[in-house]
Amino acid sequence: MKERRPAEVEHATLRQIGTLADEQAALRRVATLVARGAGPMPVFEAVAEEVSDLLNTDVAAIVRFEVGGMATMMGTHRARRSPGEHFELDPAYVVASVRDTGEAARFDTDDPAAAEMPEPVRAEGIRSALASPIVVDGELWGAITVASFEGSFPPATEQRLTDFTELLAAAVANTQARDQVTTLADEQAALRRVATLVARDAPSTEVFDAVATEVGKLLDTDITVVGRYDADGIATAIGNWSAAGGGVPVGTRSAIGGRNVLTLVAETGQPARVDGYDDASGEAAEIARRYGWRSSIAAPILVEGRLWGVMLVATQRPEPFFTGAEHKLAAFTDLVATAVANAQAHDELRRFGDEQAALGRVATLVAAAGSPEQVFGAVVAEVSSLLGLERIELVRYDGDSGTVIAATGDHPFPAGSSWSLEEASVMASVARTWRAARIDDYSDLEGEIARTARSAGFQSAIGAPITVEGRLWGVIIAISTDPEPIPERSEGRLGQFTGLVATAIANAESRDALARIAEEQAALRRVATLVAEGVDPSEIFSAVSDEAARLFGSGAAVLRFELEPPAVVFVGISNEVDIPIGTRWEFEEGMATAEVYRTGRAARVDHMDLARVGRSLGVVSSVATPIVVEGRLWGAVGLTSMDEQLPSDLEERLVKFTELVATAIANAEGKSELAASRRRIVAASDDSRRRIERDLHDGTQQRLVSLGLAIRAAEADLSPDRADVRAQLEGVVDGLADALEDLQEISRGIHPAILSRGGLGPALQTLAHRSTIPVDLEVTADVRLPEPIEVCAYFIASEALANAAKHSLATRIDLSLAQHDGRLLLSIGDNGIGGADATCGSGLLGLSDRVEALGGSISVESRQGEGTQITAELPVELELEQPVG
Amino acid sequence: MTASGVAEGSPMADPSLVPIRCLIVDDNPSFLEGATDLLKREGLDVVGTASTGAEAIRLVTKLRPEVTLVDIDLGEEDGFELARQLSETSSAFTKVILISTHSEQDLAQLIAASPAIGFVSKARVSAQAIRDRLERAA
Repeated sequence: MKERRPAEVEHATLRQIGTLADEQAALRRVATLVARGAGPMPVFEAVAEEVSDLLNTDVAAIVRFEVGGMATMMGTHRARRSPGEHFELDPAYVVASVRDTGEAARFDTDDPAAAEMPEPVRAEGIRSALASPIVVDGELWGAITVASFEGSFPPATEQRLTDFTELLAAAVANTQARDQVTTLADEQAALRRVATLVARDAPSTEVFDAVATEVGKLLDTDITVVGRYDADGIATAIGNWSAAGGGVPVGTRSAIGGRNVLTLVAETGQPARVDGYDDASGEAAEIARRYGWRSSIAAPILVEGRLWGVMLVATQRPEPFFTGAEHKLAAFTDLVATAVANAQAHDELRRFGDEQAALGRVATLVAAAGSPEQVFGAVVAEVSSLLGLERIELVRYDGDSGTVIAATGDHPFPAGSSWSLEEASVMASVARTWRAARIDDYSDLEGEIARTARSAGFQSAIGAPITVEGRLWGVIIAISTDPEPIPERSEGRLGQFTGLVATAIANAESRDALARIAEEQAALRRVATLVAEGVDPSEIFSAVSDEAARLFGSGAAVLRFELEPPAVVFVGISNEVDIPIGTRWEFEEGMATAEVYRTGRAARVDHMDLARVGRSLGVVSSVATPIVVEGRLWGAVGLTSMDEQLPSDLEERLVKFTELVATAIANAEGKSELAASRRRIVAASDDSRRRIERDLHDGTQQRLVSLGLAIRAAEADLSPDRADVRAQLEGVVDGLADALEDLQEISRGIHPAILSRGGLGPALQTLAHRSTIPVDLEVTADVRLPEPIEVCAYFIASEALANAAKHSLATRIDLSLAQHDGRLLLSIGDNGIGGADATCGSGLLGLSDRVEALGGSISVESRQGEGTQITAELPVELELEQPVG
Repeated sequence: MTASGVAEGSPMADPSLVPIRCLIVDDNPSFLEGATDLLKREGLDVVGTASTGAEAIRLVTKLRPEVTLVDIDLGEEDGFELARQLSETSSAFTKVILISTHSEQDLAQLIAASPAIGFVSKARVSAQAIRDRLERAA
């Protein structure tokens, strides 16, 4: 140092005092800042400025030391780097020396006492650089450094810097302390908020997001992710927060592996950090880069000692997290670990509860025997709500295609649509394997379904099979349009519903089958009643056609086969059928009835195989079953459909109906045959009676006559003195005459001669004459009628007159015979005491059988004291053979 | 009815009685035989017998009996019909009396409607009965 002259000394002292004052002022300003609780950064800025000013430097900077040879620029004046910048500390810099030694250091180009200025620095033009350590709480925190492009710094500069470094240290310490306190308070508050959520039983997603938010704020970062480590080496994001985008969506999955915090924590169970993703690797790193992360730290979430998940904090800012940030994170993470796990458990419980409630609702529907449609609708709605997916389908397998039976949400596979199982789809996979299936990516799949799915924005889908009584009935499919795949537990949750659906279907199918059986039975009963009542077969044909059409949903007809030429004739039709009864169609290829005629068995013809005549009427499907009457093929029952194929079990279900028709026909044929045979019996009996009468007449009566004549001849030859013999012979002759009269009487009872000779008129006259009670006879029918009818009418009159003579005490009988509208009307009435029982006195009963056999009717009215009235009605024509249909 | 005329022996005993000439039409041979025999004994002149309508007409035309007994049940043929035919063709010279084993009552209407002059039951056939009918009709 040069000696200074007194004026110079005075000047120097004045200057020293001035400088001191400036220094004090500067220090005071900084101290004020610190006292006012300004954050570190403003303090650093202020110090850099003051120092630069005071020391008249070109450059001043405050640097914080970081791990791994890095440093952060904290406050600057005209330094090349900006505050917050993170850089590698070059050994050429004087600051590096401070870091290495913990002592002040100086590089100087000109001062030989100082260390050599490293070349790179000198190349920048810096002549002198100085740095002093900042020690906080006994630890080397950082350094303050000044540099000059001109001359060397005075020797005491380090000393002067020291005051500032002490202030800085205090400021930093205060800040840190305050920070710590703040941090503690903040942490507690954050924890309380999270705990409140958990206690309130908030959904876990809310809890995780809240945790992520609190962490983000606490650590003053951009992005937080709460992740769960899942079993298969995958981690799933379950909560997130980001200040301004750049956050990873909940549900994002990443494989563990490579060099990234996710993997580091998973592998070590320890907090980890990655500063800069340039050489990071693995899927997690890809995701990080995709979201623009520059660095991240992560801490393990341990629950009951087990690695449950990870708390990850990232930033898009260039500077990495402060030293020890990951430990701070770990500390807070420990606090929230339990809450997170609890929340997840709560969530599981709640979801379980939700599922059970949903299953319960569906089960109630099933038990209440709701229709399958109701159950399907409820299932897709509940599944949609439970899985949080809008688009759910319930598909039934029909042979080689799947038909959507119920669906929620807006998508191109609506209820009612059918899709081929040949193409790639969840429905096809399930059909093939009978197990749950999923598609996580439609982009590489071919086929219409995949194309449709892609253009509808589907990203993934899962399906669970529905098996009913051992057979694969269908599948429930859930579709997501989120880029992230559907959580893998979802197939299992879906599976819980498929069981219920299967039960509902089985129940409904049984109920349906039962209902169908009941309906069919009712229809069969109605027809059987008609058959038992013996209604005309044409009514049966009509009834069967109507019932069949109603049951099997199509048009129906009963047809009779004719032989020459082979054809069918319509004998019964249902309402929808527009073909008149009696229409005749000759057999053609493609007529189901022709097949029946040919094979004697049920036949079915569909679509293009149908005969022209069927197709021209709009028929798309037809079935015919044979009607076999007492072993012979009589005709067929035919069913047609205009819209869809007739069910495949139709032939079987029709069998009962065709059997009824056959019975009706057989009955009718039998009955009319029976009636015809009764008439024949009546006629034959009348015939034989006439013959008996004839025989009596020609035989016995003639013999008696001849005997009488012979005896009278013998009498004539007797001598007069043989009066005794004569008397005897005359007695014999009388006896013979009596016998003859007896036979005549008998003959009259069997078959009156006058009836066959003269007809009813004369015969009734004869009866009337012979009657002991006067008869008022009125005969207006004067045509000859078939013998059985005349005989019947005669004997009714004869019996009635005989009864009246025996019981009635009448004084008069009215007997009338008339013909009207093709019917013969016979009426016999007396004014006697009445009270005749129509059933006793088998005469009239036997006659009523005969009357009915002939197709007539007879009625007896005989009220006590009111006389007896007998009315008989007979046809005037008689058919001894009766065809049916 | 007694065979009162028989006491004198033969039917020819009563000279005031010109034997009535009679034809019997019946399909029963034993009746024809027996009736012929009896009526002859009773004084009728049975000039012939016929078994069918055609034969009857032929014989009536040829023999011109005063009375023709016609059996109502002439086999397949109808005695009433024959009676009608005879009345149309031969009523000038012959009267028809219907005979039958049926009682008169039974066929009353038909007999009344017939051109025959009366009816005699075959069991009671006798010359007297025939004479009675002829007198009534005269």
